[in-house]
Amino acid sequence: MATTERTLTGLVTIAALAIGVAVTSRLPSADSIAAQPFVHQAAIGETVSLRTGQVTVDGVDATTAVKQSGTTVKTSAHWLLVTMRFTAAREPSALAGTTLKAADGRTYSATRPLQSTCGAGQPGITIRCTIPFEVPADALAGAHLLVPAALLGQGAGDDLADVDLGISTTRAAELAAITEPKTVTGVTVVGAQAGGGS
Amino acid sequence: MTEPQRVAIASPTWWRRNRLALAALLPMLALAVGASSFRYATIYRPTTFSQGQISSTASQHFVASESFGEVTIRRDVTISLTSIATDRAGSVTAAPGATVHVVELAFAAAPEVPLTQCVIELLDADGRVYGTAGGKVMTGTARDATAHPECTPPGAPGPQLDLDGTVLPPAGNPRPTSWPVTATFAMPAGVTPVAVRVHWGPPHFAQLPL
Repeated sequence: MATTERTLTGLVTIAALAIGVAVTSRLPSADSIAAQPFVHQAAIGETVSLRTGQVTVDGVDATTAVKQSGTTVKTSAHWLLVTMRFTAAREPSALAGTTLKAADGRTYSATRPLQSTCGAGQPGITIRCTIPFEVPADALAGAHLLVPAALLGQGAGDDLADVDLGISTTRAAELAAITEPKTVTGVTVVGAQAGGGS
Repeated sequence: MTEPQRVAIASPTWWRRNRLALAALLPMLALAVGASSFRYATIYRPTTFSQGQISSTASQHFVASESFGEVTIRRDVTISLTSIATDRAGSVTAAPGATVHVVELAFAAAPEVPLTQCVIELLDADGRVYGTAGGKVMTGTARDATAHPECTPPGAPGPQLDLDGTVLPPAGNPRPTSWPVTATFAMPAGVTPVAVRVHWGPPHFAQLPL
C-alpha cells in the first residue's frame, strides 16, 4: 500500500470517528427520549383522547373556601376549581396526578383533604368531577391544566393533555375577586355514551 | 545477453484488499444493535395479563404462583360460573345509558390457600375490560358497597398476605371448601359481556366464558 494511501485511510478513519463522537454527543439519550410525554394541546371545551380515555375540561371557577363532604377548607390564597369530564377507553381508569401549570412554569398539585382524583371510570361511561387547586393570584392568568394518561409516571413516555384554561388577565382578576364559598361534589356519573365504549 | 522483460502487474484495488472486512461489516452491525438492545418483553410481560388460564367451559381450575422477594405463594382454586343476570342488583342503580350485570361465581379451594384481594372483571367482545367500581349512581354520600367484592366468604377469609407476601394465619371462622361470590358491574347499555376474568394481579388470570 502506498504511503499516501495509508495516510489517507488513517485520516478518513479519524475523521469518521470524530464525526461519530460529535453526532453521538449531540443526540438525546435513550432515557430522556423515553421520558418525553406525548403532549396533546387543547382548550376549554375540546376533547382530548389519551391512551386511557377521553378528557374534556368544561370550565373553571374560583373561591377562597371549598365545601366538600361536610368539610370547609379555607385558603388565604385562592382555590381554582377545574371541572372536567372523563370517559375511560378500554379498561377502568381514573384521572389522577393532574397538575396546574402557571404561565411562569410553576406547577401546583391538587391538595388533600380535598378530592384530588376523578374516578373510577368505566369504559364508555362518562364521569364528571371538579378538582380544586390552591394557587396564588399571580398564578391564575395563563394557567394550563396538565392531565397525564395515568398516575404512574405522570405522563412520562405517555400521553399528556395540556389544556389552556383560557384565563386572561381580566378573567384572572375576576376569579381572584370571588370569595363566596363553593360546594364541590365528588365524582358524578354522567352516563354512558350511545353505542357503548369509546 | 538480453534484459529481463518487465511485466506490469496491476495492484489489487482497496475494495478487493479489504473485501473480508467489508463483508463482515453487516453482521458486525447486526451484532452491535443486538448487543445494545434489551428485551422489553422482560418488563411488560410480567406486568400485563400475559398468562391467561382461559376456559371454554363454565369452570376453571386456576393454579398460579406469585413471588414476593424470597416468599412464593401458590393459589390453587376452582372458579365456576353460576349465573349472570341483568338489572337485578337491588340497591344499585346504573348510570343513565348503562345496565347493571350481576355475576354469581362459585369458588372452591383448600382452607390454606390465600385468596383475599382478588379482582373480578367483565370483558366485552372487543376486549374492553369493565370493573366492579364505577358506572353506578349512589344516593347522597352513600358509598358503593359492591365496588370491591371479595373472593372469600364474609367472616371467613382464610389466610391473608402481609405486605412482604408472608402468609398470615387465617382470621375469623374456618373457611369452607366452597362458597359463592357475587360481583356487580355497570356497563354501557348495548354492550354484551362475553367473559368474566378473575385475578390477583398480573400476569396470571382465570377467564370463563359467559
